[in-house]
Amino acid sequence: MRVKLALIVLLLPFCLVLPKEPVFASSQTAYKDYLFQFDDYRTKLNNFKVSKTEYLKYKTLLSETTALDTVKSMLAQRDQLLRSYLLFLNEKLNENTGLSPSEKNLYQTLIQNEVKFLETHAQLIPSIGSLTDATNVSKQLESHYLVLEVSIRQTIIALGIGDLMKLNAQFTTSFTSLRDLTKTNAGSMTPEKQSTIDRWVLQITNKQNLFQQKVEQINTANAQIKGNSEQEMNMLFVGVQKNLGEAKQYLIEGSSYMQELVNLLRYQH
Amino acid sequence: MENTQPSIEPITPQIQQTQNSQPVVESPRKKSALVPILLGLAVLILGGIFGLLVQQKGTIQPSSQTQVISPTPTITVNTNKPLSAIATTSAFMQTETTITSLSSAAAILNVSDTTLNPPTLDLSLGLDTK
Repeated sequence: MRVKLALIVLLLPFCLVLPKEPVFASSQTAYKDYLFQFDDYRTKLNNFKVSKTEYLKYKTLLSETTALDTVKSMLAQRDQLLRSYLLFLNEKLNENTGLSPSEKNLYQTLIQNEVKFLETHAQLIPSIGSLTDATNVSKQLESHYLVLEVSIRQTIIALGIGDLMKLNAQFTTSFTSLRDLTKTNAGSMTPEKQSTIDRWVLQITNKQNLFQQKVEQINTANAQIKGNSEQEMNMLFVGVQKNLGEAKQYLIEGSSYMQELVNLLRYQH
Repeated sequence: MENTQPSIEPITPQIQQTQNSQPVVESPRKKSALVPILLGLAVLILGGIFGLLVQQKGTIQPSSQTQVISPTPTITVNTNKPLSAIATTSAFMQTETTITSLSSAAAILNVSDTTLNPPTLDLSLGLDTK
């Protein structure tokens, strides 16, 4: 009995040291897998480019066979790469505590649709029998690629919104606590001091309102990210990302106003 | 006339004898007494040099490895002002802690995480099959 107790006492500290957030390890693992797939893709792409150059130069049967083998390998790896990236995004969505369950579901559905497309596309590759077939299969992905990119960018923006909402929840908790403090001690303040406190509270409220308006603007813009070209889509994406930065700045300013109010409350005069 | 003066013993032979005898008998003792003193002195000197070097390194090379960036605005705490009644309450201190934590979280938040950037792919195969 004593031996068992001693073992428990010895092992307990190790249990406390164990990582408490295995969820974040999941996205890190997915990210490492994505990087690995990217490296593999670059290798296979280089092999294909070399064999393609040989084939286009000499047009021999051997060079054509080599080009066919390398293009099939590259196309399969490209699908795998994109799939691993989407799975990484999916893990990030899982870990994001700022998004509501319905919002998460929306973007995870987008990702699942794209993963299914890539899995279906990958099934076409083993039956490629010629370079013409390879070109046709590749064009199927090319024609769908803009849709895939829109889904990716919308998900990225959503993750940013989720992070901001988590920060906003913390902001609201701090502000509520601060307002309660000012209300509880209103009787002990001079009228001038109370007036200054009220102005700070108003400023903080304004900042939070501006933040919420900016988030609504971002949500609307995010739903409209699309374009006729990748360039156009990227321009819209960059614009929305800029808005994320502005929203964050409102919360930073609001929290600095809270610091000032705390200082004001700290002293008698 | 008789020589009544007592015979004076020659001194120098005795001195010579003593001089000859002392180094043989007493030099190991001198050496053994000096060694710990010399060792102690050597330790002191080395310790002093080491201390000087550490001090010099501290003054010449300011720490640039880690830059502590204060996320919150610099607020000068005027210790001359009397504290208010609520400043020492647990509610106030807890609120202050949450606001400091909020400021830190806001400062380190990255809304444009570069690890989320998708791979840039050139999809065209460029195969001239005609």
